[in-house]
Amino acid sequence: MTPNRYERLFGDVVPEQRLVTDEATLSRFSRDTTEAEPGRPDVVLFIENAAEAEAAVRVAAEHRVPLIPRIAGTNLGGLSIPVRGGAILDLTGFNRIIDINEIDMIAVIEPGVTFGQLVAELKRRQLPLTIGIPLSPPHTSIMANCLLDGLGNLSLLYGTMGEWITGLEVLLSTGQTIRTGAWAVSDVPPFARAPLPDLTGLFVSWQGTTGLVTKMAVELKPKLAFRRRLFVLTYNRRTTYDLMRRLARQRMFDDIGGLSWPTGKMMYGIERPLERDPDEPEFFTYIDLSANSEAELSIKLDTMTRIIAEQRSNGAELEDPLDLDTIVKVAPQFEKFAEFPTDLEFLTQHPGGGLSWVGTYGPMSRFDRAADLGIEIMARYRFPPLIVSRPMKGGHFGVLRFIETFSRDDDKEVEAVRRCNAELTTMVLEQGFIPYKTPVRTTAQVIPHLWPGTHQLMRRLKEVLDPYQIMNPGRWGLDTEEEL
Amino acid sequence: MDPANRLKIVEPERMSILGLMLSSIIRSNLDRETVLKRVARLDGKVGVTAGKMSITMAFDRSSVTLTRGLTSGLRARVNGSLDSLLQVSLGKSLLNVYFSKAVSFSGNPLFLIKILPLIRVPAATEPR
Ligand SMILES: Cc1cc2nc3c(=O)[nH]c(=O)nc-3n(C[C@H](O)[C@H](O)[C@H](O)COP(=O)(O)OP(=O)(O)OC[C@H]3O[C@@H](n4cnc5c(N)ncnc54)[C@H](O)[C@@H]3O)c2cc1C
Repeated sequence: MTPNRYERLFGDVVPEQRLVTDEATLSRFSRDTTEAEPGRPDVVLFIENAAEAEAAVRVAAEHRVPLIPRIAGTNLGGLSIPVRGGAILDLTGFNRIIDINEIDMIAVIEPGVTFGQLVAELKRRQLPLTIGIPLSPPHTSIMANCLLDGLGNLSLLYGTMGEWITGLEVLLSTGQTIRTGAWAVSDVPPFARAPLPDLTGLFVSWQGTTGLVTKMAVELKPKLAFRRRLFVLTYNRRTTYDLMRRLARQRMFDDIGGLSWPTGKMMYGIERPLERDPDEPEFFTYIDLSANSEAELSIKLDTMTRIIAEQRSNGAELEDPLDLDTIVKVAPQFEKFAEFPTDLEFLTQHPGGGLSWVGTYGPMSRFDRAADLGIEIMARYRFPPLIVSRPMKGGHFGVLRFIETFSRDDDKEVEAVRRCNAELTTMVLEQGFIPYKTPVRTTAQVIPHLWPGTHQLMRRLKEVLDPYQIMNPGRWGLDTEEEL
Repeated sequence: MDPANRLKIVEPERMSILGLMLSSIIRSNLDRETVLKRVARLDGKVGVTAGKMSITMAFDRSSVTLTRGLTSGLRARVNGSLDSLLQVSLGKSLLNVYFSKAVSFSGNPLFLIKILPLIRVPAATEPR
């Protein structure tokens, strides 16, 4: 068979078996679990090292072929679906852990390194270190999570995962390779972004539109020996958010996460739990503690107990904390929350296969109102009010997510998710929340809210960093042919 | 009786988390011969309240039916925090939790004792 244009162009970039143009593969890469419009790539290149990445960028720039980086494709925003065709760079095999510096607590990794992989490696080397771990499945990429400014189970203490980055090595479509952070000056472990002009931000939350990151240095944190995870059942969301706000500012807890009532039922196999028993708790709030000693742990537990007692004496309705180990003995389903990374199969492995969300960061002072409005919107579209909220960075702000599971094969449901998410987005923006990992549709809703000078500067930066407009085009309204 | 019909949940999609937790324990117990024999002798209803959640367990000599909330005609009632009820499920003695005031009972205590094996988490080594 004569090779097609893309096979000819990229034929020298990777060995033949890692350049794929068969229909089944292209179709698999043209969608994700969300309601995002499918978009067919012209070719999928399975990249395994920096030299191949460089060659791919060079060819793509010369022939103006869009490049879409992808690892597990679980970003829940359609971000690795091509908007204008082109080449998907599958980076799953570009996955070496280059260095783990125990003393400076920094790991240097390639794009395909997954949470499961790094956690296993730290365990294998018996290093008492860890990284912030999201609720996404173990096979998802650390780099993608950091570049998308996601959050993990230590974001209450240390902020978004973008903040954990201490240095990047980036290939620009101009053919230039740049370094950010301490790396830009010396070859020592890239210990920090300070005190140079902070260029790392040019690649965080830009959805792969400014450059292809080939190496990332990221902080690791001490993993303390004494750990507990407790669940507090709270009977309404006011109590939940009040508890979160109070606990967050103690600077004592690793993570606090409120999962709304449908979560528990879905873990018991109820796919569409639409109605809550009015007497049952509205939220399961998990609280993670870790300490260097039993004594330190017990001080933290005492603080938690005191705060709960104070809340109760103010009339709040909540149960005493349940130890996760106890819950798991009675309800093994909760084992899913025992160790991270975990696979929340009740979200990902259901017959319809669809999973989407409107995920936002916003001020904790406004959680109650935004949750009220979001629940009302979800109910109108007949989606269970599945909400995940977590305070971040000591309680300055938090994540508030509205999640839908649905059938991807049912056009009506897909349309309902689209409309529901559009309404949720309008609402969160009005309430002062900012959607993250924004799909194309959501970005279109966000841009009119962006300060005009900010968006103009973003576009100018895009022109400088990616003059050929090949890096994941169609995002953030950045392409020059797009209307301002 | 068909094992699938030994446990019924009225409107499972509306059942509280307490009911779902208990139902999963009961279901695994109903696989055990000794417990099945016991169920065949049980007739009547028990109300269980944990925190603010309540459910009714109704026995009719062959099956168990779980309903959300408390219904009329209960032979016995158990009331406590979710934590203390989970401790009972994990084997803590009824008397122990009663005297520590973590759980209260009313109605026929014998009937409660009879249903106890049904809501206890079976140890991995227990015979089927
Ligand atoms: C059940 C479930 C739970 C989740 N929970 C969380 C959570 O708690 N917190 C959270 O933050 N996220 C969560 N997610 C979202 C997502 O899974 C994570 O952000 C994950 O880390 C993304 O990894 P990935 O390999 O799927 O990335 P992909 O989807 O493959 O990549 C996403 C995007 O990252 C960018 N990118 C990737 N590599 C590069 C590169 N080398 N250079 C430039 N840009 C690049 C591109 O824009 C790319 O399109 C969850 C998802 C699921 C399905």
